[in-house]
Amino acid sequence: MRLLIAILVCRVLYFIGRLVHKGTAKPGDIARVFCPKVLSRLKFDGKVICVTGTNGKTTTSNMMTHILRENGYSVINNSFGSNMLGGITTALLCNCTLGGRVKADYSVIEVDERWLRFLVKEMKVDYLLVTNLLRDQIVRNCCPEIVLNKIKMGVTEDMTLILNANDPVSQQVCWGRENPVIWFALGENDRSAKECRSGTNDARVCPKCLHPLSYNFYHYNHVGDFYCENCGFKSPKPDYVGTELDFENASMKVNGVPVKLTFDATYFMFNTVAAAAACCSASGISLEKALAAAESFNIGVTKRYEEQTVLGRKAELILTKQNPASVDQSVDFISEKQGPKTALIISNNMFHTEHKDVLFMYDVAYENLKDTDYIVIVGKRRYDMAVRLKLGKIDMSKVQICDREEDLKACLEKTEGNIYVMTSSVFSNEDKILEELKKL
Amino acid sequence: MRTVRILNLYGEALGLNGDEKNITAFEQRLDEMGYDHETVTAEVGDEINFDGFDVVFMTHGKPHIVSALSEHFVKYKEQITEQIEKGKPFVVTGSANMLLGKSFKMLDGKTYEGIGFLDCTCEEFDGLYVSDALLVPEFSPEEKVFGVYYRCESVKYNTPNENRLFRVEKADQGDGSVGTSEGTYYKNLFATWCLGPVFVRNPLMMRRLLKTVLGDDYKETDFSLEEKAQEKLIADLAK
Repeated sequence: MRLLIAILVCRVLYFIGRLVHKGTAKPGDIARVFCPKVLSRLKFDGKVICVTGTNGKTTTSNMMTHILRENGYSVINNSFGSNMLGGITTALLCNCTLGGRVKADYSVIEVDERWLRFLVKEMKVDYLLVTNLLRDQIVRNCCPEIVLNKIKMGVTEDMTLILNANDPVSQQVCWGRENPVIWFALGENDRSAKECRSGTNDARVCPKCLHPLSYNFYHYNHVGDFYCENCGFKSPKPDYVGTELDFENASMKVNGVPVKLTFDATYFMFNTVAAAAACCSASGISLEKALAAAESFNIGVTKRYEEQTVLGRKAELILTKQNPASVDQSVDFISEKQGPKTALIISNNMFHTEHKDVLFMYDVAYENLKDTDYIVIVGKRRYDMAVRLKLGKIDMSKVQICDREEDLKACLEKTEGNIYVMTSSVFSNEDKILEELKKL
Repeated sequence: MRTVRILNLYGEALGLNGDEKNITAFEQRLDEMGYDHETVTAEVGDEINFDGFDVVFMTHGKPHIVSALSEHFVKYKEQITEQIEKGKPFVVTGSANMLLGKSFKMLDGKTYEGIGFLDCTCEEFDGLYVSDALLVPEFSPEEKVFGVYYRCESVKYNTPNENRLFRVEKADQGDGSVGTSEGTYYKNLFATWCLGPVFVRNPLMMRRLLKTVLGDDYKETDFSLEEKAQEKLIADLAK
């Protein structure tokens, strides 16, 4: 009876929540009050695949859902909402029978790195895909190792692991375990580098013996093809590998099978190889069929990138989490742009917590903005950002610190070229600044 | 021309949250003063002779790395103690402080040795303490600096810490909080549980360190931007 009440309460609240555009975690959270550990009462007809990691969880799990559906399977996922226990509960209770049977062939569940260990206490997870582990929002996750340990607590004996062979951190999930592992990787490509260009590299030493870790090439941060000269630790041989990456045409080959994608970013190609590896392993479909389905997957509208016109100039808005790896990618994006350009950096307190010490900016390679013609800084932590740029040997004569948002126009009028707006959140005063920008 | 020799102890293995930028900023100040400098990184397996260096930095790192370094570090217990007692400038930030204490216990139940220079023990906990901090340095009690803690270890002093670096004027409470005293300032050891670029953004700390290392060779440089940023941040913190 408790299960039935929980399912009904969850569905009613979810329906109401949709009408008023509220979040999706609450219905599940409230259902769990009526029926604690409600997920343990569900019966799954199909397999459960969980996707976790720092970056790429949503894209990879959505692509997996798309691939499986295109191949005729019924799939439920939590793409519409939260990836913590409440949101996952909402997704499953809204997609099971009133008796608690989940009839889908596959449940593809995106799960927050810190919550997997709680999820597995309630339900069996057949496959676990870990996209990567990079330095994330410090106020939530401190360092990747803390997150790694939390994921490891969620690994059970009967799970098949799908791991990134290019990531020396996340692959430690399988250390000391006998679980079957399927490895995915990307080969060297035009965007690979011999030196780490990112501000953070969480694998400068070998995680086994602490001697310096060498790389044949880096994709980004500590993700690349690595080896240790001292103990022999190295990138495992991948079962699924993306090669011949052609960014101009957004295409590559996975284990020799060609695929043309709808987006040309390195991380998107990584996600594609990971999704194909998971779908082929879990369902037995051929790689050709998986990749054919991946070709029609569209990343959809992203709130993290937007274009607008400011002062008659093209302005590109790049939103990131306060996560050094993401901000590094924004810096690279700007540094690779040709022609006169202006970076507008909105620098604020840590979002969610409003902590004022924004030391994550010291983990970002702002040094790579050295060829940017003009830099304007605005926001509560603008002077802290200026100190960071000065430390990065940015020519401070091209940096303007904008003390008042209403002065933004005057500051930007002193600059030239396309404007690249870097902002780390939309929870502080960025909305106001963006509104000001739209008026210019 | 004077050459300042800097030892970045376990610089590759540690250096987690911008702590090594303290070294970068220190080097830049030396450049501005016109002094040559050389920074050497020593890692596990290297033989270390502290005598050849003017200042030693040891930065915040991941818990499992700090524990893995313990065996190598403890080999130098006598040398390090002697160097600190002789007045060699040491800068230790964040979790590297665990190596200065008697021992530290990790979540997996294993206990690792420190060199016992500080009379404290540490224990990792399954959580994260995060706090901004408004701090008053013992060497300049009229002034304030700021710092930040991201900690998953608690520290317990067996005897009162009589050589604190900071009086904590404002910081959040909770598991892992540092209480009213923080860090160690003993002879020329600057040890703080704050992590990150503490010396980059607090001109008072950087000046003190530079004067300690350079003595009469110290020359004033332009800290106006850093002072403005610090002033604004401290004002926000004090609200």
